[in-house]
Amino acid sequence: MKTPPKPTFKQRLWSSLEPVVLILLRDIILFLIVLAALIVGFVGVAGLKALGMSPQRAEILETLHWYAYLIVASIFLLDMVIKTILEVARKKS
Amino acid sequence: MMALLHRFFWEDSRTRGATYAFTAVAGIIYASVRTLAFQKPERQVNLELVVFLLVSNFTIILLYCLRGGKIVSQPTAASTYRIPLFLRYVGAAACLILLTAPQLSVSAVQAAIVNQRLERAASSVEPDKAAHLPNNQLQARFQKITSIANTSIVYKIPASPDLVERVRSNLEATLRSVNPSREELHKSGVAAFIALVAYARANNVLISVNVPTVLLPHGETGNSMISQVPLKNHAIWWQGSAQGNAIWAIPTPALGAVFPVSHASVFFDAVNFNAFGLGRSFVETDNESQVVIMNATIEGAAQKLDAIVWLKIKFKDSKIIYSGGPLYLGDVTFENCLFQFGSDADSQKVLAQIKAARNQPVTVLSGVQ
Repeated sequence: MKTPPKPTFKQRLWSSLEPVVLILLRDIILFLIVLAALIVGFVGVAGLKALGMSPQRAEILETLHWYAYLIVASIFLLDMVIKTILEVARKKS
Repeated sequence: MMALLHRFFWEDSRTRGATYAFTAVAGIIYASVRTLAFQKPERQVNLELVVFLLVSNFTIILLYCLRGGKIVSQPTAASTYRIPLFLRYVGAAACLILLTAPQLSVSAVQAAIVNQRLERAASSVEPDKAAHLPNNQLQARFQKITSIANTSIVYKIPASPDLVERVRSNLEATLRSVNPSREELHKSGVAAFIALVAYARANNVLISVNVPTVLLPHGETGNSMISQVPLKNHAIWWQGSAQGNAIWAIPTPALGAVFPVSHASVFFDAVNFNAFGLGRSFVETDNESQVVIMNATIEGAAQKLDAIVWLKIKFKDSKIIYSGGPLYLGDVTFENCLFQFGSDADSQKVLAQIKAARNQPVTVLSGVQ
């Protein structure tokens, strides 16, 4: 009788990660969309500078842009951490 | 409680999305007010913002849990794991943007915009067209060129040297046709020309391969004592800090200029200079070099003006030397200065203009063929 081939490291890794990755995929896609929008915003600010926007106004836009980055990153990270903790806690209980 | 939390984070994506959107907008408003209205340092506001996000999100989640029994939320377990079609497409587009972002050069985008603006500027001051324009329209065009040049210098945006040269030559030809008696118009034309010459020189530095930029740190006092820095056969950009920097010349008059420049393109921005009245000059240049000095105060120096572009400069208690040659003064103030000017007609005319300004900024172009 033939024994089934032993799963490779990659297969084992994916099978353990797959459920989590699939569940989190929606949030990751949303995060990437917001990140892409922020990059478009960054290029937009650079374009406005080339079009002659005053340095003071450009600085305000850059400040807002930076805070947007920080907020998006913080919320995404926070959400992921709490989600993971909750899922682990739920599985244990 | 645990079940409600799990529902919030894993199932109720609509409420969660609304919560995050609300706290994100509130966070941006909070951080902007703290930075722009209260002038708090960015590092402090960053920390405050993270704390704000934590507190506001946890408060909303707590309220959600407390009202959990009353909220009729539709379990979205099935839909949570299914990604809507539009999200897939938008997500793919976002991935494409993110993947191409490293290849996208922001300075190339900016250069393209500036090139387009220069193209329009060049055609707007073609001598044939400009000759028939009314004063206010021509002045607006001159001011537009000044704005393009100043913006591009401030943001260090490179452009096509051919285009810059085209605008310069068109502007020069138009300027020749402007009657000097139309004082305001002539003055704004001269200001545009000087700004453009400064930009052309800055552009030469910017487009050079591997241009070193010397960023002067402010440190405790912002002052650096320098003996001499010869600048030969290369391009370099000296940039002072936002708080201001000053170069103090070591008081040895025999050393000559602190920055002797030969066969080089050099740009000094926001670098002040003090020679303590001991006869040293800031920069000494040859005819093959291109030097621009802007946004600075020069004190106690013995400075030759010709061949250097001076923009937004204040000379204080200095000896100013000029005896012909190309002179570019854009918004330059002379305060308590001693003038050693040649007896030729050009030098005397410039001297008369400076003296007539009486400590007010002057914009003068002279000795340019």
